[in-house]
Amino acid sequence: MNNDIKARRTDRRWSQAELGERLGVSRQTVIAIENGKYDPSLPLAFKLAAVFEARIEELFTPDAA
Amino acid sequence: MATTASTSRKSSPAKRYMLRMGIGVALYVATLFGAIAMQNAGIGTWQPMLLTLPSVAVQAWAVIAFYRESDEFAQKQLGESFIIGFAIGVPLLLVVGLLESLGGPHLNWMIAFSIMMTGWVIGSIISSVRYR
Repeated sequence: MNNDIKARRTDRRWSQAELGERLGVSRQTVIAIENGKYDPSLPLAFKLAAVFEARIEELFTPDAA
Repeated sequence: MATTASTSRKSSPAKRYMLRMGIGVALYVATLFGAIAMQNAGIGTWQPMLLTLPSVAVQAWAVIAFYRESDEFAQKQLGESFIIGFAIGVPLLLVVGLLESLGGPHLNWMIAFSIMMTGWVIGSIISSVRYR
């Protein structure tokens, strides 16, 4: 799964720790999501969507088949 | 899932784990010394060692609470490290037990702790490298 979380975060000039705080997760979790190493659960994806005021499908796109 | 702006003001699950495990280990050491003192005083043989059992419960609680209080990514990493440790440790212990029953050397039970902990450490390393 690809995502543009990092771009959206840096647009808002938030640190990874700050985003983690808004989401209620650790900085390591934010790093893993941004790097595409970890796909968040649906509740966390909804939380990301709320934080960035976007729809989930705008944040995440499936890998090219 | 708890989302609060005060998250950073709270201690992290890792810090709480270290505190709880530290209490568990301290309790173990204290009761171990107490048990040894009782043995030296001629009170029982192995029975005083049962005094250390409550510390096991504290240490188990520390690990379980660490898992439950961690966020979903940390839980995934912890879960993988446990599974890898289990997958390495249990077959190794089975082999050790079978070899012993077939005439191999009798090993101290403490080797089980060493094998399981080594397995967990290996699992933790594999999991952290995988998600780096």
